Amino acid sequence: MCRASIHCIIPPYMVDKLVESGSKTISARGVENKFRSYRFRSDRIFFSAVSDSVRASLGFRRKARTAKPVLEVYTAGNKTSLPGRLLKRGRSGYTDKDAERVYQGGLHTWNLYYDMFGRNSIDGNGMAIIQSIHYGVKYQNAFWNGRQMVYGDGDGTIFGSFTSDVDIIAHELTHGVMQYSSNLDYQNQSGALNESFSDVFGIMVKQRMLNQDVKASDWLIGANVLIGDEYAIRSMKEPGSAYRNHPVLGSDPQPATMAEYKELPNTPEGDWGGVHINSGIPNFAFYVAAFNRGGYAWNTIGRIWYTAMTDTARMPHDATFTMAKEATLYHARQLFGEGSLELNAVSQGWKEAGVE
Amino acid sequence: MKIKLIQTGGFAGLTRSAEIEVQEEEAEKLIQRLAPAAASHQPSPNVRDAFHHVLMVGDRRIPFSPEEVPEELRSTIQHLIANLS
Repeated sequence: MCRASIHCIIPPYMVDKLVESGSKTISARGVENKFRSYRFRSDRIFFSAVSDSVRASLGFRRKARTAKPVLEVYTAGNKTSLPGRLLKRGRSGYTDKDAERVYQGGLHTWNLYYDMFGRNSIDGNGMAIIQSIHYGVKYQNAFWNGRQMVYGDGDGTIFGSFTSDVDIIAHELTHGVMQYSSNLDYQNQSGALNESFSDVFGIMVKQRMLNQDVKASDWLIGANVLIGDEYAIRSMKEPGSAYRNHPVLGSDPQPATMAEYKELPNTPEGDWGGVHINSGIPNFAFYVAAFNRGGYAWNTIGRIWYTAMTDTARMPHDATFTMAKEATLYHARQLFGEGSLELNAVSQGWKEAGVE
Repeated sequence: MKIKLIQTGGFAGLTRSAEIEVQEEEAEKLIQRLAPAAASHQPSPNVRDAFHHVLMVGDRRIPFSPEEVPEELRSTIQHLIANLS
């Protein structure tokens, strides 16, 4: 039985017949149906498959761009009251470089969610993207507070400004997306999944902004914010290698596989069961899946991860790694079919991460 | 008397700490001013990548939020945060 509208579409072979038929009305309807199906596969493939006249008769691109992002940037002025003072953006952007970075980062993130997954902002309903910069004094963190994103300037010695990496901006915004979808509990495996989904969409925003395919990407999260060319905060390609022998931070503790899973107490001191540590495992699964599939991650494996992340039936608030594996395999089948490259890549990703 | 601040969590998920020696009087003041709020201290729901702070004064473990520290104790806490390693 169909659970969601995207799965209740006319079969592809029937849509093809409609598109090929002479009637303009029927063709347009056929193309619309086909689009609904293909938007979760590849817009590029879809648009190359229809004629210019059909494409023009639909006026698709114009219709699809009716929503616009609402972005607001504030400065906390090195204090801790939020959101702080609203900044104005001039014709050539913000004069404050941190403000311009979070504005552009928020825009790139909104674009990925809207263009590729049809989601209009954090809540799916056009919610304003509110970001505050210059939080606190030399504050060495960025966070989502349930309503907005917040960025510190860093201490300038270990950490630079937390606005330095677009993947951090997208990571924080994705915490908001999850709050309005799967809302994964911030503890143990569900918490590690919460962290991992944020990294997954963080890296895809970075890759799309830089027009990088899976082979060109460095797969690093926070490569600029942690000062020193050889350091980043996390590596999705090789969890546990983002920083080694850092003079203050030591070495990256992230595992890549279940064999190295860190059992930590569900307390603040235990990072709520290691949510920022064990996230290395689903991060690695995504990396392997995307790398094996090849091309742009957001066109293929990213779509599977998005539909899984927002599928509250298969990804309940207390989801485990195994449930995430099952949800992504299910959506790989739904979107790309049995025996597809994508399904095999997802299966291989979880296998290499050791998730049974 | 030795007091220790432990900071956990954050975007990087790090555990860092700093220690200083303070006079007995100041340690007592820290306990008196921070301990009552610690009993009801709860992480805010829906906050992600937040820092968490605990002050160890002798055997006492006092969770607290630096944003809510009284003005008179702020310089001690800020000194500890600036020296986290």
